[in-house]
Amino acid sequence: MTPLLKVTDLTKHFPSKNNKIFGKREFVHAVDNVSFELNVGETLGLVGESGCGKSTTGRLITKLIPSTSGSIEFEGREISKMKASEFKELRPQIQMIFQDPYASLNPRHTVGTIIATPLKIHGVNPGVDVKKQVQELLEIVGLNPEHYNRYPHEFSGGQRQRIGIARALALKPKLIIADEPVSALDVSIQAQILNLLQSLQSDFNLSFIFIAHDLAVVKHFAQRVAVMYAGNIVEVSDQVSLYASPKHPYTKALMSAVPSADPDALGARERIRLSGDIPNPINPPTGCRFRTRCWKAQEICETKPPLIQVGKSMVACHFPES
Amino acid sequence: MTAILQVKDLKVHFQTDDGLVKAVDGVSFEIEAGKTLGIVGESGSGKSVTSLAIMGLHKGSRAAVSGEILIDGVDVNKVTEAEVNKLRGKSMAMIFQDSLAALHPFFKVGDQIAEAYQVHNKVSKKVAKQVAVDMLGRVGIPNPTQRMEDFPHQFSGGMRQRVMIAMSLSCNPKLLIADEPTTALDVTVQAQILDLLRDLQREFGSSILMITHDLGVVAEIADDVLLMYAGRAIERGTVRQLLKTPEHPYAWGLLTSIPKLTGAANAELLAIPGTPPSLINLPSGCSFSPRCSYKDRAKVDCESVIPELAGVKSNSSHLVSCHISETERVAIFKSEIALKL
Repeated sequence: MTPLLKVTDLTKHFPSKNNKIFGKREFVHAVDNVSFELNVGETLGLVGESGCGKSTTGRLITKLIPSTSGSIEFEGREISKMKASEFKELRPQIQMIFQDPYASLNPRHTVGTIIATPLKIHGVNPGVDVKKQVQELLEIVGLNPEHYNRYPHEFSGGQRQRIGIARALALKPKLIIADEPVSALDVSIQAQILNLLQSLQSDFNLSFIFIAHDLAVVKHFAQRVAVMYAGNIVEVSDQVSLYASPKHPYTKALMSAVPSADPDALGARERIRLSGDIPNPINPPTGCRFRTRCWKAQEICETKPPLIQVGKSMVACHFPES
Repeated sequence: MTAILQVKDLKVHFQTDDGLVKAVDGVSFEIEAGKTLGIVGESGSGKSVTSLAIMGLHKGSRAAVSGEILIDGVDVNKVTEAEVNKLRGKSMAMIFQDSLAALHPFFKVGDQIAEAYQVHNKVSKKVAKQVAVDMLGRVGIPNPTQRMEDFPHQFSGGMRQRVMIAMSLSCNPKLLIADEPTTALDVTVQAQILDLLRDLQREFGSSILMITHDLGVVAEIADDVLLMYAGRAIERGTVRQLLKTPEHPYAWGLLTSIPKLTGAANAELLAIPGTPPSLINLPSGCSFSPRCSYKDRAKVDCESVIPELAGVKSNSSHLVSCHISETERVAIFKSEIALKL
């Protein structure tokens, strides 16, 4: 079976802002040789800290920004080098939900216009009443269809995020890239949106790339998780084994840093405190990019570790945890 | 034990064009020396407004502040701006969520810390600068003498938050108010900053008022917790009481709606239905009643009578404001909530 999405050696280097006209050109290594697959109906979580390249990866897949090299295959078709006019035909199938429900909705448009815009651009079913379709979408995401004529500022953050979800669903996509869809929301609202996304996934057989920094949210939502660090994927695993036995030292450190609301868990847990900051993406360390902060690093870590199978996980480390 | 800070029936109301916004509506608590109190709540619950009132930062704004805020025997609410200024620095200091916005972008961080120190201490610039170097070193910034000369934008988010902590602790305050100090940071950096705050608290003996929306952060750092909803305190107790045996239905909802790192995955979260009420049109009774799934278990009409914040029978230090009887609450907690925590 061909996977829905196959990403191979995807790379994005942004030219640095500090480039001088005659000087050596520098690049921000945002995403470097990232590869993964996504099957139909599956959710892949992309986790990592700020600047690890998770959002850039999402934007590359939706072709909001062009990639530097590597390939993106959607249902077996190479899309990374497609022209915008060719890609337009596939655009309805790959949609995105954004993080900031305030910035991602045009304040001058009514909710009806916002959700109808993708339908109009892609000319789907001209015979069907657009208004009726929009109202159906509003109902699906749990909003009152009568609010069709309201403006975004009349809604709360959680409701706005529902509007963004309705817009993403309008074209009946197969793949949704959700870039931090709940991180701007309060916990009680966050749970409502996560439950909504989960029920939509089973109702419409959607596949998700779920980008988040919150490990617990990703664990809750994704079947497989890829952990990113400084532009590389360091570990890919199914959600159960990743959390039960993290193999990459970075994954382990990341998990031990998450504060737990259970006072009993605090004493029981092994704590790993990383020192320092993530490396400068203009000049990332050679070999394993985590070696500058890793307590296991040795000379061999200056060569790039391949992504190898350890137990149920794929891990890029010379000294994986057993 | 003596209380460093006592807040009694604090109310902060804002007159707006749409009506009176009751941002904080009758909140009382105290913090003992060397202890950490966490104030937890969602956006708009009044936790930040409370902290600004303690620092006296509503003075000169449209806010109508009433109630008592006693710190060092002085009622912040009754004295003039100049007198509050004397309390700032030595009695209380504050760190903010967004360190980039809280530091001045045009001045070197060393000068900013030295200036803050000179405002509260009559010393020469040279001495103040030495204090700044010492403080930067103590909050774990490498090469403090060189980093003194850097501007805020040259620091990473975590390092900038350390600069803010250094500034706030430079006058050795008795109370440190931290308003969401780690919310903008990545988890590994958040862990570093929480460790730092804990170490410094031991070293300086300050009390900390930690404002946060993250129950995990509270569990890590606080001794006691005050849970706020729509401008009122609805539950108060030790961290263990609030997180292991919560009494208020809102606390149950919060704890069961957080995805957890341990335990089974992909189970449906128990979300709290609805959204928080408008602070202009608060429900007449318990402000949580429109979203409460258990209000029919109470003997009193939750929608018309505001419940008092009262101690539970088993432990009078654990306060909750709910009409459902204690035996009933324990039964609900045992049968429906405990398994999901």
